[in-house]
Amino acid sequence: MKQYAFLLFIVCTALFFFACSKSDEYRLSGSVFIPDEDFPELPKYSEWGYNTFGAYIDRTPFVSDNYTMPVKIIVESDTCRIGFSGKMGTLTFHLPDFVPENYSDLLALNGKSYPLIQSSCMVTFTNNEETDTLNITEGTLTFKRVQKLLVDKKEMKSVLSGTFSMKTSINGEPVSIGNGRFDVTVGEINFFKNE
Amino acid sequence: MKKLIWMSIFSVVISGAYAQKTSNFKIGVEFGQGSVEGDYSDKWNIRQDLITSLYDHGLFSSRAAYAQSDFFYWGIKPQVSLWNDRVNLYSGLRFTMFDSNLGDRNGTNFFYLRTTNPDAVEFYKIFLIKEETAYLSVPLEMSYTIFHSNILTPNITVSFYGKAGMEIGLSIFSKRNVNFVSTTMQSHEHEVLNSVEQPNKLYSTLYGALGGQLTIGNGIQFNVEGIIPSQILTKNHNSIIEPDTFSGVQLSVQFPLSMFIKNN
Repeated sequence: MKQYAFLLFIVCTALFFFACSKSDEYRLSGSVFIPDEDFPELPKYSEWGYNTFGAYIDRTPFVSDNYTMPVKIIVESDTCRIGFSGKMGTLTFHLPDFVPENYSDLLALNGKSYPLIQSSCMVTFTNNEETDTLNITEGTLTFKRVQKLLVDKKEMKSVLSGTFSMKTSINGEPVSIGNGRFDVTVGEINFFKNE
Repeated sequence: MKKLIWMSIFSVVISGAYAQKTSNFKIGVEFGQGSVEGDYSDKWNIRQDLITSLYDHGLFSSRAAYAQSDFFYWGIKPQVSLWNDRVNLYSGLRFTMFDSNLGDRNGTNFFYLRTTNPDAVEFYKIFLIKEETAYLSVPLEMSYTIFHSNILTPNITVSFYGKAGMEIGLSIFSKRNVNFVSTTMQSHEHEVLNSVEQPNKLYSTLYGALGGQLTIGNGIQFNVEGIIPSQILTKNHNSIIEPDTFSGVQLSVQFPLSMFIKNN
């Protein structure tokens, strides 16, 4: 009987500590939307890992919400896809020749800028399971800061912060995607490597 | 010239009061407590997590981190009554202690951002940041009796009054500490505390109160007051909370000075 009580105590203690660390993961994955002073429908630009993004598609705000994972990183054999998802759909940037092994390797993007006009850097928009490749006439994706996220000296995630804008056409109609900004965390739960 | 004018006014008041009965002079003690309304100071770099709630559309969400500041005070209070006890002037010496906390509404930890690491977003998990500050101040108050009546017995007077006052003082004690989630992080306490300046040593308030008073036959007065939402005038008196207003309650007892002076 004493042995079972001791075993139960060990299991409960292990579950307690497991729950605590998972609680940090959960809280740091949550979105904190602080309205931009000039564009209150968009989140204020930050570099804290607030898990938000936003842009105007013409005059319609395309922003992250509290229910959808704001970003997913999907790594394939020769491309890294960065997909920002909100209620309207998913905007995905396909970065060529960038194959990180894990979320820590994303630090290599720090300070990098990708001209979107080049055909090698593809941008797609997915809505209602339909994916369109955007024909970009001008635009840039900039990773202003990519850094580690540490909690009590322990590395937990990577933080990607930056801006984007572009001019394109959707269903033959010219569209401007402007004032784009993102501040997202990437960890084990949203980093996918396809072998 | 200004000093001369103020001294003249003060002399007239004191002379006028002295010309009246010595029972118009009283000495007493006061005790009060209350709380400060406000939000935590944004000088602390805290990740602004929101509380999850049933109303999860952002309409009713609030920040998980919160600040709370309570105070208590006690003092010695000389009093001069004028114009048939209609108007009362108070001063004295007051000791006030503020106890302020910055914590998480869910009772867990909040994430404090360490700004001295340029290469990473680095958070410390903190349960509580606590600050205790004590002030010694001189209050100046004036009350006006709105209503009084010998409603219970001829020897007992019940009064209601309104009061306005201000105080000015200096900090005599200030202490801050940080409770980290992990005891191994406690060595970083000074780093966290040094990121925000110490509270202002000067302290000044402007306040009002409404009170009830019971005066018994020998002149002893018992007072109960409610401090209406009032203002702390000095900036940065507290590093935890950005104060909007403060309010509270006060109890005091006033004894006629004639009780302590022998009549020959």
